[in-house]
Parts: sequence; structure tokens; C-alpha cells
Amino acid sequence: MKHTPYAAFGTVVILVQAETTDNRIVKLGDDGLVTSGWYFYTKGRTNVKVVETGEQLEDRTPGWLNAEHTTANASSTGHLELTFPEETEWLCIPHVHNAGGLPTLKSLVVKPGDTPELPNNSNIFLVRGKLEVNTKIFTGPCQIRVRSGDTTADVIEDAYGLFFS
Amino acid sequence: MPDITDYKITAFDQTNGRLEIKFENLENKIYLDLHPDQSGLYPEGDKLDTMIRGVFPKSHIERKEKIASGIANSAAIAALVQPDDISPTPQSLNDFIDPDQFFNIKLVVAIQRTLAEMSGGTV
Repeated sequence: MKHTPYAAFGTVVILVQAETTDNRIVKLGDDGLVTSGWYFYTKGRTNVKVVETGEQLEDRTPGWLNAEHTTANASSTGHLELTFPEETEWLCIPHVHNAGGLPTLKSLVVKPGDTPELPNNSNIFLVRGKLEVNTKIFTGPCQIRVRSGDTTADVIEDAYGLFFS
Repeated sequence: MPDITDYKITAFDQTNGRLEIKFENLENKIYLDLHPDQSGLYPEGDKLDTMIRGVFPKSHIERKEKIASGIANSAAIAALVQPDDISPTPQSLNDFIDPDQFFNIKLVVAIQRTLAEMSGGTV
């Protein structure tokens, strides 16, 4: 499993890339949700099972941001076992490296032909994919700051990003 | 006992009277300084062949083969190891960034911030 940290608008984010031979154990809180921080899947597939009870949760697939699935909790606390039937990638925004607190996130999941709106003053961390904004090409992972007014993006390749606020 | 399957002389440094020899079943080359005999000549023929075969590192090859096949009390020796408290010198960026370990997140982020900003920007 490879971990690559980036800075995203003052927040430490870690891009995690897992092979099919990897697995990972993650602690759950009393509410059955992961406590370590936000995570956003951008490639592959993750099977998720509660170690203690065997409960199988919904597979995590590209576009899954846990902040947008707060009811997808396990029925109990315990530990999640993550396994990867294919090469998988996600962005993790952990509490442990962001002592000042985590940002509010909104996912951006678009494909060629889409023209997503990017409001002025947006801060977007493009994790994967390629966008063209105001004639400038952005290839993830990178930061995009919109400061010249509301605009739209042309999607050159399937893109997964996060609005930070 | 390993056998010398074949060898060839791959170089001869005439300035220093030194042979470079490549044994077929040995990864590294062997260097052999030749000594002139009582007639002032280098050994040749069988005498040279015997000399070359004599420098084949049998014990080194035997040892490698034995270790490769497993040593019964290897675990007992490994149990004697007392790791140094000092962290090893990181060899690459990935050595820094296992979140389960202590690492210098500020340094890594500084590096990656630069990389991200180079490929990103303001529009």
C-alpha cells in the first residue's frame, strides 16, 4: 500500500493506492462509522466487512465520499476489514495530521461531456482525471483555485475532485 | 562441493601482470596476479589452468548454497538481534509516509505542496 501526502488548501491529504494483495483494518466508532477522518474513493473497488460480526457493507467505489454517506454505518462498533478485488485508490483526510480540524467537503464526480460549474472562489483538489478550465489544463492530483469569476470546466478525462470549504 | 564448470580469461592487464577471470557459475569476476617463474616467464598450459582453478572460491559458493537451502538454527541467531533505537535513514519518499509510523509529515507535505502547485494553479 502506497501513501503519498499532499497539501490541499492548508489541509494534509494522503493519496492511498492499494494492490489486490493488500488489506487494511480500520477502527469504527460507537456509531459504526470510521473515525479516522474523511475518505474519497477515486479508482477500483473496496469490499468492506466488520471483523467482529462479519457484517458486509456496501462496496466502496469511485466517487464515494464518506462525508456524503453518513448513514452507511455498520450496525456495531468494532473494526472494518478492507480488501481490494482490484487496484484501488482513495484520498484520505485524516484527523491525525490535521489538528486544526477537517474541512467541509463536497465531491465532484464528472465524465467527458459534463460541464461542471465552478463558482468563483472555489478551492478544488482534483484527485484524479483531467479538466480544462479557462483554457488551462489540470491533471490530478493538483489544486485548482477559481478566482476570476464563476466558470465551468470541460471534462477531458473522468475526473474525481473535492470542493474544500 | 561446487564444481568449476568452465571459465574464461576475460582480460589480461600486462602492466600489472593481472588476469581477469570469469567463472561460469560465479557472478563476480576474479582477479589473479601472475608471478613469473624461475625462468622469468608466466605459467602456461596445465600449470596456469591449475593455478586458475585453485583460486575458484569453493567455500564462498558452498556457503551461499547452504544458506539458500536453509539453516536449521537461523531463527535462534535472529532472536539475538537487538534493533538499534535510531531510525534508519530514509532512502525514498515512501520511507517517510506510512501513516502508521512516525514520519516527518511537514517535510513530506512541503515537498508535495510544491509538486501539487506546479501542476495546479489559479484560474
